[in-house]
Amino acid sequence: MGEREIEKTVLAIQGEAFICDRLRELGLFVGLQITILGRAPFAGPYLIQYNNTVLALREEEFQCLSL
Amino acid sequence: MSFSVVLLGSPNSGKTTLYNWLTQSKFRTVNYPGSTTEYAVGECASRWGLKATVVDTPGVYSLLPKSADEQVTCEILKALPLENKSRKLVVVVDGTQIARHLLLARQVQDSGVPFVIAITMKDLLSKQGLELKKEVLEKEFSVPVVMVDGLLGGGITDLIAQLQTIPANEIPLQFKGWTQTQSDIIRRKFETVAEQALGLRHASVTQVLKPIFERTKMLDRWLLHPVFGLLIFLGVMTLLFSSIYWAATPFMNGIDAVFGWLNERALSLGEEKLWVDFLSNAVIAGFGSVLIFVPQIFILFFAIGLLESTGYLARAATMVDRPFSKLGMSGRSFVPLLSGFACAVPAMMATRNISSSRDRWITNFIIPLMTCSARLPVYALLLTFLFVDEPLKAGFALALLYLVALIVGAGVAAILHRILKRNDVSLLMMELPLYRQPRWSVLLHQTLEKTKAFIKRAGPVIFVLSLLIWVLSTFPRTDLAGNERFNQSYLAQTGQVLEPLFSPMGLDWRAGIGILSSFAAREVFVSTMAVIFNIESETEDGLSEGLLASLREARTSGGDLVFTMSSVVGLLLFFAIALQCMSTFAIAIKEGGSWKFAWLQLFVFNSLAYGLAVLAVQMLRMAGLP
Repeated sequence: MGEREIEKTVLAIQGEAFICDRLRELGLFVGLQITILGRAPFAGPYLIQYNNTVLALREEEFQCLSL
Repeated sequence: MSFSVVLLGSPNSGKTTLYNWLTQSKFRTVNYPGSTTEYAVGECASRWGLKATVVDTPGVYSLLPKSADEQVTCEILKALPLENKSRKLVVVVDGTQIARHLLLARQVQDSGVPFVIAITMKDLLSKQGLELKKEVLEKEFSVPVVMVDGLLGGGITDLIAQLQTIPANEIPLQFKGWTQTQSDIIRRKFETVAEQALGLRHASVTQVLKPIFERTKMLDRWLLHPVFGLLIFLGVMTLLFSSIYWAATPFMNGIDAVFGWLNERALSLGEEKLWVDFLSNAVIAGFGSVLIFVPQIFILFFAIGLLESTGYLARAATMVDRPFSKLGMSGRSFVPLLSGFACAVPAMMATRNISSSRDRWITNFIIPLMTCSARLPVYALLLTFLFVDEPLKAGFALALLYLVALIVGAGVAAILHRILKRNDVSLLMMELPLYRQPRWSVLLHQTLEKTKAFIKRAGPVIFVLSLLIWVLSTFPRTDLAGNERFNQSYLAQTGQVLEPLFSPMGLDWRAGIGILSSFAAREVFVSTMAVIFNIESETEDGLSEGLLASLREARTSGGDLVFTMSSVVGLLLFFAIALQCMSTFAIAIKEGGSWKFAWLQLFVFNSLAYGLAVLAVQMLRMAGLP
């Protein structure tokens, strides 16, 4: 969680259907601009921000987003 | 005509705050008919002038459930009549996340069920000088829309009024799902709706609401920092645990004193009489053994409630997610495991929001290993025995016992993680809500209600079993008294038969009886020891000089000392790991879904406890220690 915030755009949401469905229900979609805030301690979940929502995503959940 | 109000909304939408306003935080848990799941129900407070039952549901992101919790909500929405009444639905929408939350409202609308929309977080919007035009939403959905202020309770009367305008119904709510295209269209539509509702024409909703999220973002820089975040987390945990002990102690002493006094009064009615004995040793002791832990449980509920209402808990769960995943659990296992340090019963109930049933199974399995507060009197007695006049060493040993339990817990989880095949998807996807100031009066109220619920649930079980122990330790020779009567009792006879089981642990049948009786509730061990060694101990902590001295001198029939360093270490290990609590067993049956889970847990932990205790005792003795 440093100063290095990375802005990315969601190019695709693909992978395990269960996970992708939930990602969409949480408001993620193709074309959305997200900010990667960093990772939690212990090389933990990724912290992403979009539309003033902050989400903690595990590695495998994060991988479903092509950025 | 009375009806049931059902609150539906996303996690962090302010739904529970609304519930608390409507019911003054009162709740009782009821069983969903035909299943083992439960939900919280309360009566609408009289100040609102509405006779209705209010049902709070677990937060859902959509009506297509992806966790046990969400499943419960969906079942509540189909259960009709609800609480023997028709139902009226309120969809709770966070005013700072409109576009996203409206999706749920739309799903409800698609199912054809009438509802009212309640928009929360009004205070946050007002602070930014923003006002939400509810007419926009009313036009979009053709349902009544109400603005609710979670901070001051504004808008509740409005909500009540609007609820009167929609019909109470019994239409089961079923949502079929949308196609990808439909979802996209609806989503885009709501973005526009959100803009219009906030009166924006060119600015984006995100930009305009950004200041609301600034403080949270700044705090997270530290609280989720790889180094500082961790340190702060450890600091918070240490504070939490130490407060469970030092803050609870004066209250526990108070309760102890009260029960001691009650016992005295009871005994003054004539100790030799059977019914007086019953009153003192079964009734008073039984109630006392439950109530003595209320302060600790209260503090733990309070602390968890505080962490949750400020928003910190989501961060804590995020931080422990990775290490927990390695053990087959998830970040959401954190709160249940933490609760286990007060009592396993509410802890096992808290695992419902873990999406993967396998993660949940593993979490529930190791919860009894978390050193619950009932073990403390036993530890106190045994550690004082071991470390006479060395409180520092005793304290250190206590911390060590906690650590041992944690390590065994981690070990068991790791093994289960290896053995059990993964058959479902495990999700974290944790939303990190805004940091908020806690509302102390609500928090206190909530904690009180949760504590009351705990007593109501665990109380009867422990009481009944204390009764049973009393019966077994008194009959059949009621013509005798005191020690003699006890030595001829059913319990003693059982103990003597089972003595060979306890001798590898270095104990005789009397200590064995103590262990057996502690299966009702662990703390009963201490009072049983007091009874057996025939000491007038009016309090349950039994730390009077008399009891300790008797224990030190107790000898087996063969002349050896019963309580030696090694046998006490064995006892400590045994209590650390064994599953001795009928309430936990009962909850395990419920939460595990079948008897299999509960029996397995009982068997595994008790054999493990026994094995380790015996091993420790024999090894220490081989090393030449007493």
